[in-house]
Amino acid sequence: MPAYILRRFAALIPVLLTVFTAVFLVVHLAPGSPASVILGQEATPQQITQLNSDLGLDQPLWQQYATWIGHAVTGDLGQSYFLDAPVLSTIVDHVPPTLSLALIAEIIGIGVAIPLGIIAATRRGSLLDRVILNGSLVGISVPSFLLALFLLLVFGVWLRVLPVGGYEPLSSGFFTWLSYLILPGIALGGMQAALITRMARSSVLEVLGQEYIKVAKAKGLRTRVVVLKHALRNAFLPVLTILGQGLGSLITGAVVTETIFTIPGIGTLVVNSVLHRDFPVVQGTVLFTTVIFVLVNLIVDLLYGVFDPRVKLPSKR
Amino acid sequence: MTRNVLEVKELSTWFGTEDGQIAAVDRVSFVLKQGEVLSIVGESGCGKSVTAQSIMRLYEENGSVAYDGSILYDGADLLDHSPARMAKLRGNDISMIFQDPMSALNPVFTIGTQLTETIRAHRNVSRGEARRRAIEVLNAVGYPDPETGLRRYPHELSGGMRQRVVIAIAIACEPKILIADEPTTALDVTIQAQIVELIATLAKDRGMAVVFISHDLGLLAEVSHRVAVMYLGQIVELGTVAELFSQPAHPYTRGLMASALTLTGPLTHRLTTIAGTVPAITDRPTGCVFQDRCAYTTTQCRSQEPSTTELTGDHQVRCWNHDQLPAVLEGEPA
Repeated sequence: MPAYILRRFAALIPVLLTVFTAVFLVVHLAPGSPASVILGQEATPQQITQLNSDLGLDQPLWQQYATWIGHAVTGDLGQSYFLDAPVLSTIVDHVPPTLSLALIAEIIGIGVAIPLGIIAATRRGSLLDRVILNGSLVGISVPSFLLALFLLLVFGVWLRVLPVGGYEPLSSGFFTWLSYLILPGIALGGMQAALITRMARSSVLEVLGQEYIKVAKAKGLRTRVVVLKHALRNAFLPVLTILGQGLGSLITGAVVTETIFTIPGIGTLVVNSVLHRDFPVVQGTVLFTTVIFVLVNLIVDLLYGVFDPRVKLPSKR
Repeated sequence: MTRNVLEVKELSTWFGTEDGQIAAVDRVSFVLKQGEVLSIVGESGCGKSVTAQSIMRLYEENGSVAYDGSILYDGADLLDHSPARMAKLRGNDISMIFQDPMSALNPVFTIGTQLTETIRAHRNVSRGEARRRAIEVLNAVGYPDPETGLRRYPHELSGGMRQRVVIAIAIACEPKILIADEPTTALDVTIQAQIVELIATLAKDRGMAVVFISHDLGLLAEVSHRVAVMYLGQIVELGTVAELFSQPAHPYTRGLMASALTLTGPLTHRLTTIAGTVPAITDRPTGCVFQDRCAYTTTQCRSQEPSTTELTGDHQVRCWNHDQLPAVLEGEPA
C-alpha cells in the first residue's frame, strides 16, 4: 500500500509538469504585460523596461521557465507581483474559504442527494420518484450562477435572513461561518447534488436487481436492512467516483460562486491574478489545484479498497 | 399419514406487463409433506422458479405483481401475511437456496457477516453466540476450517464452497421448509452430486421438507419422493418418482424422459428431443398448454383445457388423452 501511494505521487510529476507548461505558455503568450498593468497607463517606456528587468520578464521565455521550475522544486513558488507577498502564503491564505465552501457543498450534495437517490430507487415509478427525477433534471440544467443570484435575491434581499456575500472564518463562530457559506454552498453543490441523485438512483436500482439482494430478502432481513446495508454498500462505489471528482471540481471550480458571493477564496484569487497579470500567482494556484485534484482522486482510489474487498491495490509489482 | 407442512392451492402469480396481466404461475396446487423431497421439473420458462419465489413472496407486491389462490403454512395463508410477518418467516421457517452461488452472496461482506446476520435476524443471541452457531452450521455443510471461513469474502471461494455457504445460510435457523432452486445448475458436474447429496442428508437429519427445483431428471430421481412436472406455468403431472418413471402419463413427461441422459448403465435408446420450444407466456394457447408440441393433440385439446385426472393414489395428470397414449413412445427403450 505505501509503495502504491508513492508510485501514485511519482505519477503526479509528469502531470504537474504538463499542466504547468501549458499554464506558463498561456499566461506568457497572452497579450498584456504585468508591468503595464502594475504601472498604469501613465508609465514611461523606461519605467516599464526597468520593472520588466526587475521581475525577470526580459529574459528569454525558456530561461524564465527553467528558473521558475528550479524554484518550484524547492517549494518556492515565487513572489506575487501585485500583492507583495510570497505566492505560497498567498495561496494558503485563500484556501480556508474555498475548502469550507467545497465541504459545505459536498455535505449538501451527499446529505440530500444520496437519500433522495435511495428513495427514488426504492419507489421506482412512483410519483415521488418522478418528482425527484425531474427535480434533479432541473438541478442539472440550472447554471450555478443563476441559482446563486436567485438564492441571493430570496434569502439575502427579500427575506434578509442570510448575508449576501463575504466570508467569516470558523474562528468567528460556527453559525456565523455557516451563515456566509450556506447560500454559496447550495449554489455550488446544487448541480452536483442533482447529478449524485441520479447516479445514486440508477446505482441503487442496479444493485437491487442483483441476486444477493433477493438472497438477503430470503434470509428474512427487513427491507430497511436490505436496502441500507446490502444495497447501499455496493451502490456506493460508482457514487464515490462522482463524489471524488465532484469534490475536486468544487475546490477548483468555485470561481463563479466565489465571485458572486465575494468570498476571498482560491477562485477569487485566480480571477484577480489573471486581471492583474500576476503570473506567479496564476501559475502557483493552478499547480496547487492540480495537486488537490490528483490527491482527492488518489483518496477515492484508496477508498475503493475500503468499500469493496475485491479491489486489491497493487502493493508490489 | 404424514402431516402436510405446506399446502399450495390454486396459486397464480400475475405480472403486469405492457401487454396486460400475465400469469407466470397458473393455478398451481400441491402439498408438501413433512420430511419429503418434492421435485419440480420442467424446461426453462415453465414457471418453476416463479412458483418457488412466490411461496417466499420474494416478488414485491408493488402493483406489477399479484398473487391469487392460497399458500397454507402453519394454519395460515402466507399471502395474507403482512410484509413484516412474512420477513420473520423467511429464513426461519422457509428458506431458499439459489441457483447461482456466484451471485447469491454479497461481494462486500464476509461470509461471517452474511451468516451471522441471518441468525441474529431471527434469534435473539449475542454476536459471540451467533458466531458459534455460524461455525457449527458451516461444519454441517462440510465447509473445511469454518473459523477462518468466517473471515473470507465470497470472491475468495470456489463455486462449490460458495454454494455450501449459501446452504449454510439457508439452514442456519433450522427452517421447516427448504426450497432449492436449481442449486447445482451453475456448478461443475463433479460438485453437483455432492451438493445434491448434502441437501438430501441435511433434510433427512433435520426433518426439513424440501422443494427441489431442477431440469435434470436424473439428478432429482435420486433424491426426491414425488415429482411435479410443470409446463407453461401449470403442473401437468404429479406423482411419486416410481409412478412417474414407470408410467409417465403426460406426453410432456414422456418427452422429458426420452430426451434425458442416464448416468447409470449404457444408453439403450436414441435420445430424442421435444419438437419446438416453450411458447412465451404471453402466447398461452386456449385449451391444453402443450397442444402445439404434442404428437397426440386432438380438437378437444385445442378448445378445452384438460382437467386434473386422479390416476392412482397421488398420481395425477392434466391430459385429455393420457389413457390413449401408446404404451411405449417412439425413441424410448423397447
